[in-house]
Amino acid sequence: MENLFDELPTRQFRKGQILIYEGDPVENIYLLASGYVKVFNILASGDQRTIIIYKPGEVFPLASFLSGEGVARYFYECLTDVQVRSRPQAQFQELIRDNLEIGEELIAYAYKMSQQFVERIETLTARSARSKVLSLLNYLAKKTGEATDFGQVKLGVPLTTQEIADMCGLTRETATLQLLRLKEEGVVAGRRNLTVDTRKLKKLSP
Amino acid sequence: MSKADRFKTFYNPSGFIEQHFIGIQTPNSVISAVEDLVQRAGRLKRKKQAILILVDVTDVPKIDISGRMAKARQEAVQAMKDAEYDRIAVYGNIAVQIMVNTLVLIAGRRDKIRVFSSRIEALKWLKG
Repeated sequence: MENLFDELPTRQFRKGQILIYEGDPVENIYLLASGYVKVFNILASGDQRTIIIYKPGEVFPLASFLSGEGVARYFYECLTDVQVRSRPQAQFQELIRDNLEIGEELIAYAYKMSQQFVERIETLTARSARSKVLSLLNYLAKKTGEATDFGQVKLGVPLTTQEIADMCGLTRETATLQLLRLKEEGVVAGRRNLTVDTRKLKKLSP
Repeated sequence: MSKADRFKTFYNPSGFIEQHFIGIQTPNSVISAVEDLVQRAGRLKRKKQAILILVDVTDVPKIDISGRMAKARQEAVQAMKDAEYDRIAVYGNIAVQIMVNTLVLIAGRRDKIRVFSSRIEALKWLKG
């Protein structure tokens, strides 16, 4: 997938910058070269709800482009400073034309990502506060984690309690309470740079 | 389920060909469905009628993206390129939309084939 962006210049964006707004026409397809990008929507209540996180090497917003909708379904915001390579969607369309091999790769990738969206949305809508936090930690460990010790995984992206709350669809107070309990149980440690005990997490995960 | 039960094709009284996919599909069922459409489209062409096609994929519970379906996808792309038709509107869930629209992009037929999430939108464009 990354070779579709070869020789394209890298552009830098600061943490907090929004790359794509919900409802925007999909004009560019991005390859994330470094950093993390979060995908979120805003609920009727005004609360932010983070659906997934993109990590280096991933491409977006592919599902919006490939489904033919033509508009972004979510906001895409830099969770850290990031570097991206982008290709106009019209060029991307030309790359795909008559190329079943690339097409197959894109279908498989977009399908995998849309499954991640579905799983995360199910998590956000259906479970208790504790389950939501456990599910998020599990997701972040798999997606961004780096093994440090036996069973210990350090999350690759520093997060405030507010950001964790947003990702779970919880208030900051509830997220704080749940994190404190999980720290007491030895599931998670640290402040912004969290380390997760994946063995304990696995036992507790719903 | 035999391949004939996995899809049905008929002439809708409103003047277009309609095809419904039902249940999990196999390479053979998809290839047969495409052939069926091509034949019916050929009949309309001989009658010098507009060839409009509506495809309902909402009753397919799971999209198979594995390699075993590669041949079916290849045949679908070829049919999109070669067959005679004026417009095709397809509707289904997001996985269907991604799959079909990517094949449309490969075939370079975005002008004649569109993918939608609902029948209402699909019919509006097909008859528009």
